[in-house]
Amino acid sequence: MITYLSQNSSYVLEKLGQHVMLFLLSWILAMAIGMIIAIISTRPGNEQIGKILIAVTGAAQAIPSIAVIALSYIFLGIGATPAVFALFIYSLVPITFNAASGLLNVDPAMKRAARGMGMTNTQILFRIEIPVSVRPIMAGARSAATITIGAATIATVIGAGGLGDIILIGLRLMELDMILAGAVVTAALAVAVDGLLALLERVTISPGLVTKEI
Amino acid sequence: MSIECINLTKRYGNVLAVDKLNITFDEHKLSILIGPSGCGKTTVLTMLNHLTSITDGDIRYDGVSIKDIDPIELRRSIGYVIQEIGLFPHMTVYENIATVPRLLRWPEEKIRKRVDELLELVNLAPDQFRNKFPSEVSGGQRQRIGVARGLAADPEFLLMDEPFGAIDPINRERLQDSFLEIQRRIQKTIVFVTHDIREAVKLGDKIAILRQGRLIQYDETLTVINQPENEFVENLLGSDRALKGLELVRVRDSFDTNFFSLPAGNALTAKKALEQLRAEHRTFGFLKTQEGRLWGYVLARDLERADSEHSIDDLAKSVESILPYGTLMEAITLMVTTGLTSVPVVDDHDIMQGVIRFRDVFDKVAELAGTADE
Repeated sequence: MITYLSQNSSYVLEKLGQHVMLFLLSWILAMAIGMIIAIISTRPGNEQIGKILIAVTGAAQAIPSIAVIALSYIFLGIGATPAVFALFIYSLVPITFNAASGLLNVDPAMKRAARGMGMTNTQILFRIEIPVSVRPIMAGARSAATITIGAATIATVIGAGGLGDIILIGLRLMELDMILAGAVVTAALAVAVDGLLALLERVTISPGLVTKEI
Repeated sequence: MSIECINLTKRYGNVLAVDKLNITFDEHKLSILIGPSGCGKTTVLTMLNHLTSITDGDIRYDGVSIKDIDPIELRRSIGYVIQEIGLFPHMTVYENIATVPRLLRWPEEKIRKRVDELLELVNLAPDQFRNKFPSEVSGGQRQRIGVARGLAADPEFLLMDEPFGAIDPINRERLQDSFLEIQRRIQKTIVFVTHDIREAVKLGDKIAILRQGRLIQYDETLTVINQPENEFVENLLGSDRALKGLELVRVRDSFDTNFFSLPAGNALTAKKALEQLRAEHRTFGFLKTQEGRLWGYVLARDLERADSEHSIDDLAKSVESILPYGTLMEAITLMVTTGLTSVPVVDDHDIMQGVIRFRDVFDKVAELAGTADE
């Protein structure tokens, strides 16, 4: 496997680059749209919608990624765009689910205190609800990232490129080294991204939410 | 700077939560809203800062209708204190207290000074607490911070919704005491919701009793205790309402400045002291130094047993004393625990001011309970 990687480093790097692009595009898009959906569905008066959304997205997490990719292929054809779209839809689910649950779980007494002190709805959202929900929001972001990086390998079947190509070709050629190389690099990418996000979580979360009760 | 409710009504569907409430919360006074759960007390409070909309009627702040005030502006000008869980966990103590001043865009320098001032006011050392997070301080301290936060922008009005409800009884007493002391200094117009009648009696200048959205009685606290409007109020006060009254009456209104004492400082022998006590038909006497400081007390029976030339200083026992602004409840508790029928009253410098006697306290109980001696 090491030999394969060292002999084909430029090819592997190219595939890694494609993979990162697939992941980044779909994940960033999902983060943006997912946060917007979560926020809108948890605004005062919309809490019912928020609860339904949580139920739906909770169940949707059970849909296998290959099914989403297959559906995307049927409607959008082959290439990177349908793959990004499928991955976007797929990672939207954990992001929305976690963010909406986090926002809905913010202590109502805290929100009431904020409102009672004269904060506007927007101020309550940005100064109270989101900072307090950093942990669940980041949990959704991290699981979406891990899932997307893994699921992106499947996108190769609809011609999206990425590390999946190495695995697929390895499979066709029955080259164990290739299959392993593709898998290990994918896993390493997932671990690295998760590590980065964990770091991001640590710097964005308030120490007040981390310190233990005395 | 009063708050006036005129025919204030809140209806949820068919349920009348507040029914044509007419009440004026007086300037600089602490008014209590009390009643069983569902009586509408919290609804009234949240209507005062527009967290709950008004179905009918009006609220006037210094004559200005709440309908003519922007809700956001209104809330920023009224302090709001709820249970300690209302603190923002992701903000430091400083940031929590600075919430409203920041919304009002005060310069940071002014905010910093104000936060320190408020922490001092609620007896928390600024250097020690400023940068802590709510999860790093105790429940009682969190509640003090909540009070400081409510006072941050120096509002004329303060709304408090069961602020001490989640605190254990011992700390609650302390918080109430220090809050009374704070209010004595700041003199805000406060509306305070509670379901605890003891708290109401202890803190309230006036008490409003609500039941099913209606005002049953609204009077000075002592009047409520002495003249409950009806059985409902009597039941709310409980069978020990006379005792509750004792928590209201201060020692300074009932103690006797005319009292018997023996001089301390090796001035008297046991024999002489005993003669003096007998002449007065007393079983014990308090000892006072030349400066008037309370030294202790001696029992006649200890003097009888002692060597007659012995100085009474050595025979004296130490005694707990009470301050003039202590309550009769504290006085009677002291009498029971020390077994003495009178308790010395001293000022802040331990200078003896007088004594408070059991019979005076008991007369007060009889007065409050409306009973008479045989």
